Amino acid sequence: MTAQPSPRPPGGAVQEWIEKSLAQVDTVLVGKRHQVEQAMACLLAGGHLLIEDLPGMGKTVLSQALARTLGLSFNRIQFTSDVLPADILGISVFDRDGGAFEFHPGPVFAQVLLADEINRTSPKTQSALLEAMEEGQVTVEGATRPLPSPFFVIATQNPSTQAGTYPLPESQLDRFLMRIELGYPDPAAERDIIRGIDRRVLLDQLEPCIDGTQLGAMQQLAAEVRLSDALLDYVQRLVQHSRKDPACAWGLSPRGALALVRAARAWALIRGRQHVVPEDVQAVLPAVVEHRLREHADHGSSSGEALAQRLLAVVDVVN
Amino acid sequence: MNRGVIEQIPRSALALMLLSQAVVIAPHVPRMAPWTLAFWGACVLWRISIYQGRWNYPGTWTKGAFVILAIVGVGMSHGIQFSLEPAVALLILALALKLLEMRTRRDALVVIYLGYFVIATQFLFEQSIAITLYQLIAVVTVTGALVALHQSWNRPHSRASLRTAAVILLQAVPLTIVIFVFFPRIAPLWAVPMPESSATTGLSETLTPGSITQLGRSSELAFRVEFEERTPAMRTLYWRVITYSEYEEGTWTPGSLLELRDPPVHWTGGGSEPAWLREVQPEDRPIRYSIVAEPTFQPWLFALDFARPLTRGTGIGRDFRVLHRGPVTQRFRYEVESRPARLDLGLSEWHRLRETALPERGNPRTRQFVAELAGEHPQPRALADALMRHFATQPFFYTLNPPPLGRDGIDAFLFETRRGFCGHYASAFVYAMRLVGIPARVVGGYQGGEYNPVGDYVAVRQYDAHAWAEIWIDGEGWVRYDPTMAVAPDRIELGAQAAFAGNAEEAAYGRFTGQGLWRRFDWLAEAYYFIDSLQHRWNVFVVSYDTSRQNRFLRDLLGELTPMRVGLAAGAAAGVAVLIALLGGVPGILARRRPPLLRFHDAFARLFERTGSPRHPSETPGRYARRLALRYPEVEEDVEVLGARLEDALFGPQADDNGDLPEALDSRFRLLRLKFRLMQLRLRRAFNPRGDDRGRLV
Repeated sequence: MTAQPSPRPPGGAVQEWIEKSLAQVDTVLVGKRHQVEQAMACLLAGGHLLIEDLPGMGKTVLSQALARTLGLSFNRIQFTSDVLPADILGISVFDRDGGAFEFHPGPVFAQVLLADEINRTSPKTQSALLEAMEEGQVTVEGATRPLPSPFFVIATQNPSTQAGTYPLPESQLDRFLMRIELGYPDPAAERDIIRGIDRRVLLDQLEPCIDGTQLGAMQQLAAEVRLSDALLDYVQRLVQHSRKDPACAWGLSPRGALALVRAARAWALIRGRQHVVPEDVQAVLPAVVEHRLREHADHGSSSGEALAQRLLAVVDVVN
Repeated sequence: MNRGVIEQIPRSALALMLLSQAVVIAPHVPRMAPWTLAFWGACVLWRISIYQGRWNYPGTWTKGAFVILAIVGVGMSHGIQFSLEPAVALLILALALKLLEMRTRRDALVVIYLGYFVIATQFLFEQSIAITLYQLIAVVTVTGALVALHQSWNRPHSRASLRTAAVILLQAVPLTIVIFVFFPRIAPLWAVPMPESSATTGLSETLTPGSITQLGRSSELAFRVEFEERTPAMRTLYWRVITYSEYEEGTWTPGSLLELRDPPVHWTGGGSEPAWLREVQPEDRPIRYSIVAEPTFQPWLFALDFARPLTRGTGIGRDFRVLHRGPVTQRFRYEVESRPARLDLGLSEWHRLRETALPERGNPRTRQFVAELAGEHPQPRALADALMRHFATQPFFYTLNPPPLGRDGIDAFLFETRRGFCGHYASAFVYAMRLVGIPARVVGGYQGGEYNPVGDYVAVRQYDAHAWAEIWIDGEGWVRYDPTMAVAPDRIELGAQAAFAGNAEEAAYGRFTGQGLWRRFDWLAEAYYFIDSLQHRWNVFVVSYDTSRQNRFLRDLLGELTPMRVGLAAGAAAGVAVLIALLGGVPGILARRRPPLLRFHDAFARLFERTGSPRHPSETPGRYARRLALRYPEVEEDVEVLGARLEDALFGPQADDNGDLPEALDSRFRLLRLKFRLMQLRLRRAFNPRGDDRGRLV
C-alpha cells in the first residue's frame, strides 16, 4: 500500500502502544479485530461510539476491555425505560453532618461510559446523556461540572425493530462519530465462550497498556495526520455525491464530512501512517456515514448501509 | 444495452413526448376541426393506458380502421381538394396514431422527428415574433423528449432533460444565425398550396356604396411604409390601390385592363417604357420609401402618386397603380419612388369614352342638378370646386353606417339621406362629373396611416381604407378631388383613427373603440408602438430575408461577391459562432482543467483500460496497480512501482499541493508504456499468427 515507511517517532512509540492495546483487547474479544480497530479509531479521534447489535454479542466486553487497556476509569449505566436524568448525572443529597447539600456524582463522571441499551430509555434521559457528550460537562442544580478527560461514551443499542425501544432521532445519532455492528463471533471464539471461559474473568486480568497522558498524546497525534489536497477532493466528492444522489433523502452535513476526516485520520494513525490515504476513508466511511444517511422514500427501504456502499462504489477516488 | 432487443421508452421520455405534442399542436388548434383534437386526446389516453399496462397496443385491424377514419374525417372536414390545412391535419393525426404503435426507441424517434416537422409547418401560416418565440419553446420541449429518450432509466426528472435540451439549443444559436445569414436562399423546388383563409381587407374589386349599411372596420394591418427621408404630412398620403372606371346599377368596377391599348402594365426592368408612361411629367423631388405589404391574395400593391416601383416583380399599371406579378400571398417588401406629377398629358379618344361612360338613364334629379350647376360653371375645375362647396355647405354627414339607398342611389344620397362614407361621396362626385362629359373615375386605396415614432414608419390599417375621385382636366391630366374632405375634414387631417376617437359612433365598433380608448394612455401607446415596430423590424430583416436581400446584405458586408469571399466569410463566421458556443463552456472547462498529476493518472488508467482492465472508481492507483500486476506479470514491477509512486504523489506525506508531476515518474511511465505495448504486440502475435484479428488480449 505504501511504498515508503511512514515516519516513526513519536509515531514509533505510538505505533507500539496501539499495537499492544489492540492485541490485548483481541484476547478478550476474539476475532473482532476490525471492530476493535474501529472502536480504537473512534476513541483516538475523540468521538463517541454507537454499537448496534443484538443483546449478548460482546458489546459490554468490548467497551470494558478498551477502558481497562487504556487505563481509563469505567462506568456503566444500564438504561431502562424508568431511568431518569438524575440517575445518570448525579444528585445533591443533604449531608446531615456537614449541614449542607453534597453532590453525589452520577455514573456519567467516568472516562469511559458504557451506556447500555440507550434506546430503551425515554427521550428525556437520552438527551441528558447526549448533552453531556456534546458539551463535555454537565449542569446539575445550577452548577456546571466538567466531565473527566478524555470522555468517551460507548452507547449500545438494540436494533430498533426490537420491542420496547425509543429510536434515537437523527440529530442525536449525529453526535456519534461512528456506529458499528459487532456481528456474531467467529466459530473459534464462540467455541471458547461456550466451553465456559468466562469473559468477565479475562477482563479482570487485563492490565492497562498506556496511561491517560499517553492517550492524550495519541489523540493529539491523530488530529495532526496529514491530509493531501487530492484526499480532500475525494472527501468532498463523497459528500457532494451524497447530496446529489436521488437515492439519499438528504446528504451529509459539513459535520458529517468533518467526522469522516477525523475518523480517517485516526484510522491512518492506527495503520501507522502520518498521512491519510483513500483506503482509510473507505475503511471508516460505512461506520461514519451509515447512521447519518437515510434512503429516499422512493427508493425502497434499505438502510444507510446500502447508501454507504453505493458511495464507495460510485465516487471516483481520483477524479 | 443490447442492440436488437426491444428497448422500452423511459417514463420521463414518454411524459415529455406527450407534453411536446401538446405544445406543438396547440398553435394549430384554431385551424383544426375539433374532432381532430379529440382524436389526438384519445390516442394520448390510450398510450398512457398502454404504459400503465391496462390496455394493449391496438391490433393491425384497429390501426387500419383508425387510419381510414382519420382520412375520411379530414376529407369531410376540409373537402377533397389538396391544400395546406388538410395536409397539416393529416400530419397531426399521423402524429397521434404513431403514438399507438410506438414500441421501441426507434419508433419514439420517428414521433419526435414528426414533432419537429409539425413545428415547421406552423411557419407556413404565421411568422410573427410571438409565434417564433413560442416555437422556440416547442423546439426545446421536443428536444427535451429526445434527450430523455437517450437517458437511462434511473433518471426520473424530466426537468433535467429539458434543461439539457435548452442548453444544447442555446449553444446552437450562434451557428443558426450564421447559417441563416449565409446559406443560399434556394427557391422552393415544389409549390405548397397556400392557406385557405383569405385576408381581410378594406378594399374590394367592386364598390357599391348604396348597398352597404355598415362599413366593416378592421384594425388589421394593410402595410407599413418607411420613408427614406422625412415622413410627409398625413393628409398628403393617398395610397392608390385600385381605380374604378365602370359604373353600372350603382356599382363601380375597375373594368378590364385588357381593354386598354398599349401594354397595360409596365413591369420594372421590363424593357422600354410605353408611350403613356413617357407622357407623365414628374415634378419636384422624388420621395423614396419602402413598403412591407401584408398578404392580400390580390395582385395590387400600394403607392403614392406618381409612383415608379423599383423592385423586380412589380410594375405600374395604365391607371398608375402599382401591381405585383400574381397575387401577393406572403408578406412582400418593395421599394417605390414617388413624385407629384402631371399625370398623363394626353387622353386618347377611346380612353376618354371609357372614363365618361354612364348608363343613359337614372338619377333624374342629379342630372338636372348637375346640368344647372354646369350652366353656372362651364369650366371643369370650376364645376368640381362648386360641387365640393355644395358638399361642404349643405348638410351632408360623414357616417360609417349610412341608410340603404334604393334605385337611383345617387339621387337618394344627394337629395334625401345625405349621409355616407367616402365611397358615397366619391361615387356621387364622379357620377356628376361624367354627366357633363368630364372624364372622371373613383380611386380606391388607403388614406393616411399611423405614424410610429419608435420605428419611424407609417402603419396603414384596414380602417384607413378610403375612396376618392380623379377628374381629367385637359392640359393638366388627372387631378385628385376628395369630396370626403369637404364633408369631414378631420377624417383627412387627423386620420381615421383620430377622427373617430371620442365620437358617438365609437360604440358601434368594438375593436376600433377599444384601441381608441387605450391609446389615450401614453405609456400604453408607447408600448404599442414599440411592439409594432419590433414586429416591423422582424418582418423586414428576418421574414423577408430572401435572395435579393441576402445579396444586398452580403455586398454591403463584403463588397463584391465572389464565391471565394462568401465562402471565407461564411467559414469565418461559422468558426466564430462555434467559438462563442464553446466559450459558454469555457468557465466549466477551466474549472475542470486537471493538474498534471491527475492527467498523468488518467493516462496511466487509459493505457490499461483499452485492454479490458478498466479502473474501478473506488480503486486507488496503488490498488489498481496491484490488480494489474497480477494480470500482466510481464510488467508487474513497473506497474506496481508506478502505481505506488502515483498514489504517494497524490496522497502521500509529501504530496505536492500543486499537483505537479515528478520528473522521474514521467520517464518511468514512458518506459512502462513502451514495455506494455511491446508485450501486447508479442501476445497478439502469439494468439493470432496471421494477424488478421483485431482481438484484444485475453
